[in-house]
Amino acid sequence: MIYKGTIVKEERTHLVVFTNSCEYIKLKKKGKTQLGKEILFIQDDIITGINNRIYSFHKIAAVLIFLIITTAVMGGLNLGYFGLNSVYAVVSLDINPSIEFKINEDSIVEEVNAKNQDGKEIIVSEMIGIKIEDAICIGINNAIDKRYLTEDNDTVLISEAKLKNDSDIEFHLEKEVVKKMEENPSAYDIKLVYVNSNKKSLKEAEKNNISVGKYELYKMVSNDNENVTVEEIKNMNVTQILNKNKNVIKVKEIRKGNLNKDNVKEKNEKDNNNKDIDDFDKGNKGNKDEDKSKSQNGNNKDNTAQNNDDKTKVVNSNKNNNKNNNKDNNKDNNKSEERSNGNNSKKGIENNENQQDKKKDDNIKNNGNDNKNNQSQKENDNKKRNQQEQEQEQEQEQEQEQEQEQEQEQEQEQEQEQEQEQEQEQEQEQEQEQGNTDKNKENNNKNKGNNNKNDNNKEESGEKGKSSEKKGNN
Amino acid sequence: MAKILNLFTNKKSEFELRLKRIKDGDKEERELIISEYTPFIIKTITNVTNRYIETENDDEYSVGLYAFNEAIDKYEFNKGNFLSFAKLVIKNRVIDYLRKAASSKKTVLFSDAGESSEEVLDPRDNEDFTYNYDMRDQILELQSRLKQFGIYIDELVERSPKHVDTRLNSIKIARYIIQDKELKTDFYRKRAIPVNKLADRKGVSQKVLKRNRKFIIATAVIFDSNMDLLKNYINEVERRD
Repeated sequence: MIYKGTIVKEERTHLVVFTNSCEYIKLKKKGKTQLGKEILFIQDDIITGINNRIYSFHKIAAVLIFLIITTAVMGGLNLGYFGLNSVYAVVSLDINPSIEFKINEDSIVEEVNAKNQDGKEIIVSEMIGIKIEDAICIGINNAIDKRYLTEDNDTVLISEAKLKNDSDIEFHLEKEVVKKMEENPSAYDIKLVYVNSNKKSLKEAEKNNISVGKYELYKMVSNDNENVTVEEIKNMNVTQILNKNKNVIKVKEIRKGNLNKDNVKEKNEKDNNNKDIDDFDKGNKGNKDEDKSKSQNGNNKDNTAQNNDDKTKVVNSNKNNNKNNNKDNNKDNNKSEERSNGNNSKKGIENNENQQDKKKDDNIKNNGNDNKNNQSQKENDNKKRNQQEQEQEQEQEQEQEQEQEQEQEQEQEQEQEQEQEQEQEQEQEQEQEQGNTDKNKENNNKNKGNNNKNDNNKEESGEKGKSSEKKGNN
Repeated sequence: MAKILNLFTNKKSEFELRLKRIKDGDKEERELIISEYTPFIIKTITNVTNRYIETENDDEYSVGLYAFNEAIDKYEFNKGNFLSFAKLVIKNRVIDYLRKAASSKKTVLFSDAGESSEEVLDPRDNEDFTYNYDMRDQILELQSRLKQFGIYIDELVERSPKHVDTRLNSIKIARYIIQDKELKTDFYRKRAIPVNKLADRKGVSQKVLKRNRKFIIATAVIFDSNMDLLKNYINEVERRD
């Protein structure tokens, strides 16, 4: 119904009118209003307290429901997140400071703890939620800033213990870390020691209140020297441990400061040549990872890599130039060797397509290597290829793994040219230390045997190989 | 389900029936519908003008009514909801009116169907401004007078008696106070209702006086003023009953 009233009061939010039924009523403010004006208004214009209350009730209810839903969703997401991506592995970083990262399947850091007092100094909150290799870099940088990493104390120990055995995805931590470190323009030449570990060691390490990396070192050292105790290892920094036990532990050196002419040159050359392969490998990484995941022990891979180094020494005198080629040789050898070992890495049936592709890659790689090295090496390459083709079916399974190793080693070796011999020696010894003595011995023996074979084969196949090689390349 | 649908269709068909009758010439029905829907018309108008309509003499009010009438005539049953159509017609007519009125004045601002937030300058503003200032002054004076009695108008909103009868009673009492000289002087001197005397002379219970104290005082003050408009309201209320 229509009301009539005179405006008797004007407030900021409403009007008051005196109506023709002698009521004082609050009205909504509309437009310009003047005191004393008589207006017509309808029910809707009246401001009643009751309406406001109901309105707020709905508001409050809506807000409450919204809150409940969001918290439920958040809770649900969190639960789901933890259920699916619970801690997948533990990665430790030791210098003096000792810290441990807990990472999920996507290599994202979920948690980081300090294992000793110094460790607290290099931990920052930014480490959580990023990839492990980035977190490790942050840790190392912090250690440099806080003078935990110096010229005298320059070794970093990284260790990885996988908690889940069912890994479809497996990234090679060591390689990733090294890659990241290379990108990091730090002044120091930092030495990196990488050890693979497992759940069992992790538990032992936790019992002793030590990081898993250091525990692995302890295992290595104590195999050689029974008198060493966990406490000693705990208190020593990694550089000290290594200096004392040089013969025991293999060190890979990251020459950051030396990212200069030589290494850069080689790296560029290598990169250009292997660009396709790299891209392709990345695509096939999953497959490779499957291979690796099936391995019981990452040490096996390391062994094969080390075996390659051994063969480098054995087969060729001109190490530096033939480095890469030798790797190829050795890998070829390893293929047969590993096969004969009944596959340390339990590989399943691979896709034929991938295998064929990878063979081609190997060939391309070999071609690339030719460009780098002397022409005298070409014959070796050809013979290598011959070998590959002769053992084609049997080698398919093993090529993938070795390609990756080859890459990895190529990356590392550019910076390690001068110390190769030492490394090889250390590798040999380390193999023994890592508890795969029997297998390593077998490997070594068979490597030698295969070396002989290869030499024979090389002499025999000769031109035959070249022709078949061409076929293979086509 | 069917019943509910029937309800809807019934309402609609009922309305349509009425419209039909109007179109056939039923004048009574027309008047009826117009008066029923006047609030709707006013609402539509104020949506366009963003102001309160002032009295039935307002141009825009008559424009709106006329537009509604027009809508009834022009409406065709198959063209959807009548009210939406009527709304449209009213809006258009009002906008046209405002344009015309504004063009004959100096300053022009108008809100187009509520889209812009610009104020519509009342074309009539320039005419009666003296009157307006008068009224305004009077009201302000009322406010200040009430203040002397310790009453604020906002309070009156809450404290006024809701029931008509109570109001009427209070009005009566207020009139007593003003008309009786002695009560009046007491009233102004004490700044309060002369409760005892009222009770004695007019037999008014203290309870009533207490509960409606503020309203009574306000009404009394109005009586004793020259605000005819408000006084008229009061008289009107009394007259109604």
